[in-house]
Amino acid sequence: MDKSFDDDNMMNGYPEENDKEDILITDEVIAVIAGIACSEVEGVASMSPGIAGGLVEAFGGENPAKGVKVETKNDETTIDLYVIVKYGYRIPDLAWKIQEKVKDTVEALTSISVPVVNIHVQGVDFGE
Amino acid sequence: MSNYLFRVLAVIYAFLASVASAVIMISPFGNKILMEYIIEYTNANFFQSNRYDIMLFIIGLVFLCLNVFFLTSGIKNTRSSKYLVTENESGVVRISTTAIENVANSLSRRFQGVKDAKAKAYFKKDKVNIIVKLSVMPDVHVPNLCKSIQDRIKGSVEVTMDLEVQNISVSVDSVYTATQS
Repeated sequence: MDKSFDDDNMMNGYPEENDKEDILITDEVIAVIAGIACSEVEGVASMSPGIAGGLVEAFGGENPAKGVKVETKNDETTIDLYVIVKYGYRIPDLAWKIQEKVKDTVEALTSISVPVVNIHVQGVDFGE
Repeated sequence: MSNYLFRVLAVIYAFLASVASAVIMISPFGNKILMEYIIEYTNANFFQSNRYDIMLFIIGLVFLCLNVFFLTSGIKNTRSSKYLVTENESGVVRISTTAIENVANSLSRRFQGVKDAKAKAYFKKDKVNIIVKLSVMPDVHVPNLCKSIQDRIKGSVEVTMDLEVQNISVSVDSVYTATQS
């Protein structure tokens, strides 16, 4: 029974389950991965949700990819991270750490190469 | 320079608009003789003669240009000056003026003798300019306090953000008194 089903599938030209062409990772998934990776870097206080994300949170909605914008054009993925940093950390060094961490994590978990990670420092947190 | 030009044009426009509105305001309050005289004079001298065609056209054009200038001045895009962008191999790093204002505000408020502080930052030719407005306690030596705040903010912004600070203006706007509470 199983065999005949497989044969039918093959005859109809269905792609194999593990065919590499079938793997589709959406920008939202990349955004969540990048957001988590960024938050783990020491010196990052929080992600800045922006106006739209802030409204979503204000109404009790979940916004796991807050402060992250992913754009894929011509097979090239660009990640923009909107961060609030902790006071005392040198921002150019911290930005470099975030870029490296996000690139490595996204590439390790999705096999998608991310050549550009832009950091937008939206504020500095003094932990007051 | 552009600010000076804007003010001159605004004064000219306001003057011409005031004259025109004064003339319009006269008419409903009985001074019709003056209005009739103005209408007759303009009819006879401007509209029935070709001599002033070019002059009327130029006056209209000047008004139109001023209108367009004032309309567009209100919708200028000033967002670009809100960030300073530096590039590295992995992308760009954009530091917002809000981040600098956070630093200036928090550092200023930490000084003994400062009741409140409000900072405003802006970028001019890739350099940071900061204006800090303070409310201070009455028992503080203001010049020393201002100097200390300037040094502290300058050092902090230059070290943590790697930005060049061009100017930090500190102004003491008020002295806190017990009655203000």
